[in-house]
Amino acid sequence: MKNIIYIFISCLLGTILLAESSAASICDSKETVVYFGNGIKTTEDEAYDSLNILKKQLHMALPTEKYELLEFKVSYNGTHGLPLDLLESTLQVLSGNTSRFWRLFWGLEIIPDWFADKFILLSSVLDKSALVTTDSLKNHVTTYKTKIAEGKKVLLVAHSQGNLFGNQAYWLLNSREQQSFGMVSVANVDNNVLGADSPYTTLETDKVIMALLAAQIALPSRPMEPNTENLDKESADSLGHSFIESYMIKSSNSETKITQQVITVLESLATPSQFVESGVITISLTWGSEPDVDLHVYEPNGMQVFWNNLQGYSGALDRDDRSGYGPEHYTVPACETLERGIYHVGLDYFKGDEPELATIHIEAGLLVRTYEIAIPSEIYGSSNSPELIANILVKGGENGGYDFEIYE
Amino acid sequence: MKIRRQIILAVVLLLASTSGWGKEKAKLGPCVRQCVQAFNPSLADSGAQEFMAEDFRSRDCVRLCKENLYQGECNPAADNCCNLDYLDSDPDCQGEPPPDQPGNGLPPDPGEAGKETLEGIDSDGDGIRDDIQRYIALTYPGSQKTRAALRQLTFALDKSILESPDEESALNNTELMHRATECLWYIHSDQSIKFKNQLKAEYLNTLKRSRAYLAYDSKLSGHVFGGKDFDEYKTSCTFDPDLMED
Repeated sequence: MKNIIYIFISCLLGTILLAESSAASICDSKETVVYFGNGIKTTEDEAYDSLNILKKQLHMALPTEKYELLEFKVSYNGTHGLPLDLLESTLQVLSGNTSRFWRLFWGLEIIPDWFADKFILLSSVLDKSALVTTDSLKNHVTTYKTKIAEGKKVLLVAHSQGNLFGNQAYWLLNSREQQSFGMVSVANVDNNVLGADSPYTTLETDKVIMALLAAQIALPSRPMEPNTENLDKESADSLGHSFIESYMIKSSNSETKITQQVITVLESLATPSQFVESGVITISLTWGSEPDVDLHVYEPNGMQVFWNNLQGYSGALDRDDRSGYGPEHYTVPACETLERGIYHVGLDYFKGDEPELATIHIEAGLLVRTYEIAIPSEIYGSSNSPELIANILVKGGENGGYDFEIYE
Repeated sequence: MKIRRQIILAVVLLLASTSGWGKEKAKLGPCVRQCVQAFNPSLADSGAQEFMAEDFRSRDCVRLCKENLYQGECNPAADNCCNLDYLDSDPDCQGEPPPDQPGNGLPPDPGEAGKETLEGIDSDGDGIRDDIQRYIALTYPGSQKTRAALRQLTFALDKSILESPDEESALNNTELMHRATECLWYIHSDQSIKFKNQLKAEYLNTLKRSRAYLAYDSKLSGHVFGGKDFDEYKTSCTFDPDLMED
């Protein structure tokens, strides 16, 4: 009797899982990841809008079978306090009307010259070397490396300061990875694109770039010259620098050019060799030169997956490393084996003499998290008592599909 | 043989459901009783017989209690009260004028008093600041789905600026912002960006609120965020926009 009930419940559960997984794009395998790297005057929410605009453009321009191989993400670069500085320095002129400030900031009203001048002044005194923060860059590079290791091509559409991040990320990739990493440069504040004089798009009317060109002392390197003109295109963005309001304005030269460059770069990227499996959940552990740090995953079914038990019910440790640096890698390859419940992620400093700095990178559904963990040498020699780092909660979505949460 | 199997399966299902309901009933009893009485005051203190009656009210109440949806006053079921969080499924919301239309119970303009705190004033307790509730209703009187999507966005904004003391909360709340963005995009495509930014500009109407928003945003620096496919954007709505006429 118990068996019959078990089979019935299993079938029911299986039906629910299949029904939900069939509707979820996270279950589909993608070939290329397109990232949007934002400029300094862009809040995360606006960066996500920019990604949507880019996505829509490619949706229209590419054949369906090619578009469906793309996955889209934002690599968010912070604003370094610039919006707040701009707000505080303009509020008096705006008679304390913060709503008006935001309407100007988001291009809902035509930006007056005094507002544009204030922004240019504030942005031109920012130190280029300070813009690319180590932590942010490291997070982005970890993501790019992980995707390339999974056999995926990576394309970064970089706007404004996003170019500084993109160029520096490129030099942190090895030569094999560089073959599969491309960048489409928009309003480039740097003097190159991935170390070369590659195609880029900068508007003749971009006042921010013009100001940087005029005041070279603000940047150690002179930005690339404007090379694109948008004729008869009116925009509220009198700065001429916004990705959405100036560069991707409908039917403009710049929109056509950027879209074409994305398509060209997509076709030119080499498909990397696959070192680890991609999947619905992937967990990657890297560290320094000490011989052995181990990744442990406890699946919802209770199974512990680690070096001594590579295969779980839900996923598998498809890469174990015992000679330093990693990666160790766990994946749940497909929605068919994804379980509802909690996946516990832990690490164990198995062998080494010095303190180590480990990085755990988790991608689950749409979520991406990176954790840095300093491990003292004292726990050297422990074997089966991993330190819990993060939890991944998988639950059924209210409207179909899966919901994920990652928490410490 | 086939019939015998079906009989066994039916018995199994019956046993499973009845034994489960027995335990469930004991646990849910007070909730269901309160719910049935709220729906039909004449049943108050009427005793076990009426309570056990398998009418649609008690079945509705069992469902609400099992799913932790019973809210006491305004439920997502037929109780002569439209629950705004369930515009698509609450029968009381169907075929009625949108509850947030001008002249249909809008709270008064809170004025400067509404700007004194980060939270603002929510005099009717609908979960949305009065000034924003009025802005949405008065700006989009002809589009129920736009109002519903902007309310979803407002909830996400509230959580972002009021409940993001640490990075982890900020990251989780960003997912809510993205889902609200996708929902609005499903309704208005790229025109949604303008609607969203206009709402945000209204929402961030004090220095304190603007600073809180930027403090939240600063916690997102360096992080990577994924997005759904366009054909899944509808699933990001907390309501069903296709069930709304306008």
